Amino acid sequence: MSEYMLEMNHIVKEYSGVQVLKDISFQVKKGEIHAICGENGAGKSTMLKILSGVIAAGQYSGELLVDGEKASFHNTAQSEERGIAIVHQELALAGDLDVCENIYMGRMPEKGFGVIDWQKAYRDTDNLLTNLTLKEQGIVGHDKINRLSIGQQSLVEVAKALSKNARLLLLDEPTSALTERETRVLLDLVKRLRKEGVTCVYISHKLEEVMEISDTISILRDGEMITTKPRAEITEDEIITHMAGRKITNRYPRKPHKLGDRVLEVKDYSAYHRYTGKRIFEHLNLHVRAGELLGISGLMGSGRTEFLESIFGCLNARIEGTILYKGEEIQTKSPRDAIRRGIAMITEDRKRYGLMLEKSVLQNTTIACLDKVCSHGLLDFNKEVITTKHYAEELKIKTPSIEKKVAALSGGNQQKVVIAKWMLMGPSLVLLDEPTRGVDVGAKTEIYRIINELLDAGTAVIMVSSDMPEVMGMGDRILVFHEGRLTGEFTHEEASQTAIMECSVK
Amino acid sequence: MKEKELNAAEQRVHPESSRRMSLKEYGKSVNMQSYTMVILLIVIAAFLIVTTKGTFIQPRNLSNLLRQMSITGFLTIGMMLIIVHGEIDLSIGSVMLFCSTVAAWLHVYQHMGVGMTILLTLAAGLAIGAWNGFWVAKMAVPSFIATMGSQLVFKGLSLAISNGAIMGPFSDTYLILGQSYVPKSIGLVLGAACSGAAVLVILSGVRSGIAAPTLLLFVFALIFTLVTTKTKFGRNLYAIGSNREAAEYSGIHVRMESFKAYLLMGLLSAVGAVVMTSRLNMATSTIGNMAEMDAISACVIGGVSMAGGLGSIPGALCGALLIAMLDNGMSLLNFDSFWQFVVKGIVLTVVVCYDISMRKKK
Repeated sequence: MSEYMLEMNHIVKEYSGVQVLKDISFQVKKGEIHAICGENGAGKSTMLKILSGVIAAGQYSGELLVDGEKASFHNTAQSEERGIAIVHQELALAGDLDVCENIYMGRMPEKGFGVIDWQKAYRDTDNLLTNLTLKEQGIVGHDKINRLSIGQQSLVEVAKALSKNARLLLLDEPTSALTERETRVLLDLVKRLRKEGVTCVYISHKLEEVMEISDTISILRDGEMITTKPRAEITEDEIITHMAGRKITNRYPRKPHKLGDRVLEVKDYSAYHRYTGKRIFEHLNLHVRAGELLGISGLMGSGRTEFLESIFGCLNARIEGTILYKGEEIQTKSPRDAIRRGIAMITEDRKRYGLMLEKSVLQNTTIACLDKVCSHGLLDFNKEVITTKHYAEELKIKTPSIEKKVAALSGGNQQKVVIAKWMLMGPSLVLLDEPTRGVDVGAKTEIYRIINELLDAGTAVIMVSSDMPEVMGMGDRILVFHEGRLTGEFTHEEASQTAIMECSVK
Repeated sequence: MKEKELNAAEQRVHPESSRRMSLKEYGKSVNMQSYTMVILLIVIAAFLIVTTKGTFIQPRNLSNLLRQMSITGFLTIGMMLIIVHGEIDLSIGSVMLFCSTVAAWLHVYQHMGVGMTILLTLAAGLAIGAWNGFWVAKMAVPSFIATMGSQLVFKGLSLAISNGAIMGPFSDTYLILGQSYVPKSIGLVLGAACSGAAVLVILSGVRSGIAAPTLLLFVFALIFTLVTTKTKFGRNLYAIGSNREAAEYSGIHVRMESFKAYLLMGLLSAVGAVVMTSRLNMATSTIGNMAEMDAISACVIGGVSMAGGLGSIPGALCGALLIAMLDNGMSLLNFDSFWQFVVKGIVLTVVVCYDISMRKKK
């Protein structure tokens, strides 16, 4: 038997002539948690696809060994047979089915003649959830997936992977959508699995997590394996340097801006669920000034996203109170309303609300401001090209051509396309909801730079983020939401992690 | 953005080289599909020329073919606007029947003038478009259901007006639209003027000239190609079809644009009805039977994605041409009408299947 659970030897993968993986060789020891760090587009996802059989053997060159034996997977079923299970970054659960049905989807225990043995299915689910201590997290077999939080859903994904007797678990940014507490639970689970002999390949942008749980850390950059080191021999800063290939001296390039008038002010602003009357947020009094970045922190479900949505006119709720925009009382009934007034919103879920994935960078950039690329009332393709090129350059959008579908771009570049769309509009107020979610370190810094430019131009920015250092690092003022109420307000200098955390939990 | 900045940007990125690149790529993405379409049309044409011993290629038949295609063509243009923004309209056959009936009732029974009849018929089409648009865009009833409802409603109303009887004949002036030919000289000028419309030049050599419906379709095709590629409305429709929510969040008035598309669909159905009655010199209760199926097939064969967001007017019209060729060819070959259904059905499925497999490869 081999010492390694998994070995990749000289793996090369090309997409239409471009090498995405350049001669990758790496080994994962049995029973370790092996973290892979790298910017988006570094080739992590491609690696996972090869390991899980999504990219079939023969479409890449090189050798894959599982347990010391040569493996050539043509589909995920074959990799699962060898004990490899993958939890994707985007959850792949059926929302209307329950936990049990999702875990055993496609392989329900049968009584014979195709009749499902529901009793056994729920009993097995119950055992599985108990073993993984997920029951303590309030997950039971009969829960509909839709009713679980995103964090609980991730845990169900892990349970599903393990129910296939996985010995090698591949986790692709499992915590990117989780709150701190949910992350905690997931990390504990992964640690416990290690004790039970499950090997784990863990991909994450969050260096704190990586440092905490991994035994070995590999760093991938531009399709090359830069280094593999035991955790004890590497520091966070080294990881960042390796990932970006350059030293990031200032992770949060905040600088003081000249503050102008109040752009937005809300007074006694509340929103309640239309039918149940449940509080979404209540009695908010806050303002943001021109050239100011207002950071909003808080746990998921604290009403912070909904607050942005209500300003942007896309929250379906009963709203009370007043919005003063540039000193004038307004109501935003639709995003169109808001946009006309110069309010832009970069949503958390950019694939759903921000982008037309099958359309080009160009079409995505100009769609919100077609007026600006018209001449004589008709769309002017030349103008569109020039405008798009201008922003692609300014925002350093990495794309082979502006006619490329945005679906083909990495997360960071997709986000830049969304930003380009709004910069073209020249907004007075920008609402950012998790602007750097699923974005690599290099692109993050780029996005901060762009935010700074917006602020310099006198734009007011409200940024909601789960990434506490980000809010603290960028915010001129930081507000904390908890269960729909404003529970804390700090200046940049006052803010500390513990103080913010305290406000967000009580 | 300021003009100056734009110019600066232009200079920075070397517009010449970069623009040529992007246009080239743009061309690539479009051409892949149109090539297959053109090849398919040529193959079918070649097959029909051989099997009909040349009858198919005779100018008279070609002229006929294009005239037959024109009515499906109007509907296809409208249907393309609907499908590309992610909806469907199953009512257009009935709408065409209704508008035909209205036209006949106004002209034959109420003795209204030609101009007034056409105007009121078009208004009826618009009104029905508004009706469909109201349910789909405003009340958010799934378009499949809402327009299926309209299909029944307007079929019923048509029969109520006509009592199932054949209504006609129309006055001679009315018939100009559907039956006349544009004089040779004008046809030549027009044909030569419209580059790329070599077909027209050939057809103008026909004894009688270009059929008026063909010319009308050509004009509509030009207008709506412009609408879909060069106007905000057109781009918005593609955006809505690509990602409805993102379109909404980009400030597009989704419901209004959808409503407008249904208005145009209604209008184009009415145009189809006017041309149809003018050609037949009567309104019968079989007008528009399964017309929605032909229009949807034409769109889909012509590369308009049922999921929305993809497709073009010329593409969809190529699809309509293909269907017309099949109809025409099979008639020439004396196929029984039931075999025509079978062949059209199989062609539709196979073409779309091929298209999907090509897209996957890409």
